[in-house]
This record gives sequence, C-alpha cells and structure tokens, in this order.
Amino acid sequence: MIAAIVAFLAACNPAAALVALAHDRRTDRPLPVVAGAAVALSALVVAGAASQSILDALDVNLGTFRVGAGAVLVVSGLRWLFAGAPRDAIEPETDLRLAGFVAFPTLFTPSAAVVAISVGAAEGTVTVLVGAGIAIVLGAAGVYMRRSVPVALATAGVRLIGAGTVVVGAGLIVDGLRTL
Amino acid sequence: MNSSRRVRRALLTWIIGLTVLRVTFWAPEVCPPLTSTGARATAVASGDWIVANQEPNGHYLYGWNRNDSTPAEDYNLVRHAGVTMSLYQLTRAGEIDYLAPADLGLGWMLDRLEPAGDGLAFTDGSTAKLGASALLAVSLAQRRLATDDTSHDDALLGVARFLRGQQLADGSMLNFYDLDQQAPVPDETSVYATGEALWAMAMVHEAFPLEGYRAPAISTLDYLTTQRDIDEDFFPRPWPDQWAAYSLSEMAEWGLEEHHIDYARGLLNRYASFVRFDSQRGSSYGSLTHGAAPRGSGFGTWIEGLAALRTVTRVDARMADMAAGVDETLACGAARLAEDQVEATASAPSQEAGAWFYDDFTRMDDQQHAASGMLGAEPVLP
Repeated sequence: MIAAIVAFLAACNPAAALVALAHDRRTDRPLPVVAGAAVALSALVVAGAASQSILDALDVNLGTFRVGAGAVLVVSGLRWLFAGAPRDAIEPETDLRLAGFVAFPTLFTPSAAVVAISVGAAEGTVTVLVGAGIAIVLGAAGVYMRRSVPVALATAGVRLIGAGTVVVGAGLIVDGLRTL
Repeated sequence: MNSSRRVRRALLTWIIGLTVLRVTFWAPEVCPPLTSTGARATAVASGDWIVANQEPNGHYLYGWNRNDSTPAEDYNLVRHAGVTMSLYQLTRAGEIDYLAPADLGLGWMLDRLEPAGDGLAFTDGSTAKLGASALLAVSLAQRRLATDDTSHDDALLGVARFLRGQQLADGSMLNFYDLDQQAPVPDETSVYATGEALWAMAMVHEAFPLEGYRAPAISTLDYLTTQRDIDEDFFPRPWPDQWAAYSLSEMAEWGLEEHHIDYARGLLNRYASFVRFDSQRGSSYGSLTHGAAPRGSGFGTWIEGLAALRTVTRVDARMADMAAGVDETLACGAARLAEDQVEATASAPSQEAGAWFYDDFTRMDDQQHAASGMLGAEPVLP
C-alpha cells in the first residue's frame, strides 16, 4: 500500500498542480476543482478496475506493461526535473471548463494512468482508490490554494518530485523485468 | 497559455505516447499454438539432424553454412558432450532409436579419457576443460537412468572424482586441469562450467548416494547462488544459467535453502522476461522494434531453464506461486522456438532439416538445446 501511495504521488506530482493555472485571476471556485478531482480519481479507479481487461486487450503481460509504464514515469520525471512543469494556463472562464481542466490534463496524467493500471492489476482497485485518492486530493488542494504558495517553491517542488518520479519509474521497470 | 490549447497539446502527447509505447514496450506478445506432439516432433527432428550428420566414429557435424554449403572447421569438446547428453535425454523420453548414436558419441569421449589426479578427465590435449568432463558425467548419468546399464559406472565415478578435485573451498570450480603438471590451473574459472559441474555432481549423488557428492554439490550450489555472478562480473544478475536451473531441479527434493530459492525465483523471472520480449517479435512489426531472434541454442537454453525451474515450482512450496506463470511462459517460448526450425521435408538437405539457422549458420548445440528444451516443455502443452 505504501509503495502504491508513493507511486501515485510521483505519478501525479501534486506540486505540478500548484503551477498548472496562472495566478492572474481572483476567482475562488472550489466546486469545479472538487468536481475535476472527482472525475480524475474516478477515471483512475476505473483504469485500475479494468486493468486486467486492458492488459488482455493489449495482449501484454503485467511485467511487460510495467516496463512500459516505468518508461512513461521516467520520461515524465525527467521532463519535470529538467524543464519543470508545463507553462501555466489561463484559468478557464466557466466552471465546467475549469473542472475539465483540473481533471485533464492537470490531475489525470499519463503517469497516473499507467500506475493505476499497474497497481490495479497487482493489488486491486481498493489500493488504487486509496493511493490515487491521496495524490489527487493533494493535487486538487494545490490547484485551489496555489495563490498561497510562492511560485519558486512550487517549481522547486515540481523538480524534486520529478526526480522521485524518475526513481519510481526505474523501479517499475526493474520490477517489470522481474515479474513472471 | 489558453487552457483549451493546453488540453489539445496534452491529448496530442497522449496519442503520440501511446502509439510509441504500442510499437515498442507494449507490442503485443504473440504465442503461436503448439501441442505436446508438435514439441516432440520438433525435438525428434533436432535429434535427427544430429544423427544424420554424425560420423561413424561418433564425431558430430559441428556447424553448417547454408550459404555456401560448407561445414564449420572447428570443434568443441564441451559441445560434443552436451549434444551426446541431449541424445540421452531423447532416449530417456522414449525415443530409443537415439541410444545407438548417443553411445557412438559417448565412445568418442571415453576414448579420450585421461588420468587427472585421482580421477579421469575428458580431453584431447594437455589441458582438460571442466565443462567437457562435467557434461560427459551428465551424459553417463542420463544413460544410466535411460538404460539401467551400470557398465560405465567406473568411468562415471572417475570423472566425478576429477570434478570434485577442481572444487575450491568456497564451492567455486577451477576450469582447467594441466595434465603435464597433474594439477588444476589456479585462478581460472568459467561461468558455464560451474553450473555444468554442479549438475554433474548432483546427478552423481542421486546415482551413488554413498559416494559423498552431496556436500560438494551443496557447496557449489551455495557459491553459484550467492557469489558466482559477482565474481564473474555479471549485471544484471542472475546470469541466465540453464545448468544452474537443471541443478536446482535435481536438488529440489534435497531441501533447498532460502538463498537457493531467491536465486531460483530470480532466474525464473529472468527467463520469463526473455521469452516475453521474444514473443513481441511475433507481431507484424515486432522484428523491426525488437530486433532479430536469438540463435536456436540461446533460445533453447531459456526453454531448458524454464522447464527445469518448473520442476522446482512443483517440488518446493516456496515457489508454488510461480507454477501457473511458468507453464504459460514455457508453452509460449517453446512454440516460438519451434516456429523457427527448418522443416524436415524429404527435399531438405540433412544439414538443414530440423536445424535452427542464425545468419545462415547452424551449430550442433542449436539442435542440442532446442531438443532438450522441447522435451522439457512437453508437459505444459496440450
């Protein structure tokens, strides 16, 4: 369970959520943020629940999937580590668009999706719910409270967690190679 | 940046990323169908290649270039012993027609036994190589199991004494013996021969439990599972060693220790990852993204290793969780290997029928390892 939580934190990078949206508006809309987080979490849980079907559809073994999943994390981590988070976006006007943006691409990241499938296939949906839940709640809190965190600190956090993502990704690759 | 633009960019990244993953890491694993009858036919065709190209004195055809239809010039005693061993495995599996050619190959080796210390070593020069004698011992032990004939017991025990004489206190095995000096050559080891000698000592203990080979075998197993790969500078570990797998299979009923099991699990996972990667070559684009398949001998050793470790999953409860997975992987690997064999048709030359070619060249151990692997895979195939 601990490993799954760490993997989801590395994959979602809650610090990146802190800088996903620009600081140029004074809107205070917690509801769309919560809705977006719920959608992202639901998508990850569904991915975890459907993990075996996804592996069957891809015609790959869990070990093979983990090698590719690890590569996704390594690439994402290297990007966060060296280039930082993507440029911040202007906060969408409508609540619906804001919720959508929080869900994707802010919280439902490629790394989180592959970790959900990997964890779901090995440890079950409950572990996905808990691990992804913690990471998504932290990310959503970051989106909502971004104005109270200095950008420099958030950016440093993105890079720090990015380094961790690389390590987790490498571990996932090794684990994939060691999976029967 | 506009948030909609950011979403579009993210979507594009997902699409490109998934496409790249699908053709590389997540290429589909393709496992063709193969029945146990098909596996046996494949093993027999391999054996037929060995026998069809054997000389009357027992010497085998070492290799064949099909580009210019020429035989390979060199020869290798370790491989001669290994090929003979596989013919005895076929005999043990009920293919008794291979007993006579196997005995021919055995006779060629027995003619080259030389006194070495208090034992006998198989060599054609002034230096005896551990692996050649080890696989001769395994051949003799396999023959004994296949025929219940004890007429070669003195030779088997003589070779076993030579093997034991090559063992150091830490369980490692010296690779060479200098016949002129009548002493082992110090400081030279071989990654192959350690496992070969271990398997031989384990089989000798099974045949002669009172001869004192249990302790030396366990000592070398301890060394091999904990230190050998470090001493030989292998990374990642464990080095895929099918001889170690055979040894573990032989010794599983003796009661393995925790570090033996850790090693066995790692070895099994290693072979499984090889087979999975190879199965991805089976997709329409797999050969482009995953390169060319390995030669038959290399692939055959994976199947041998998996088949041997499958036995351990059946015998030792600590590996029972891997039993289903190893069956699936073994079946897939055997089917992939069988696909690449040259069909034994009436029109195929005897140097090609039943062989595996790599760069238009086949070597006798391609057929040896494939035949042994196929026999080991039979139980998991429908």
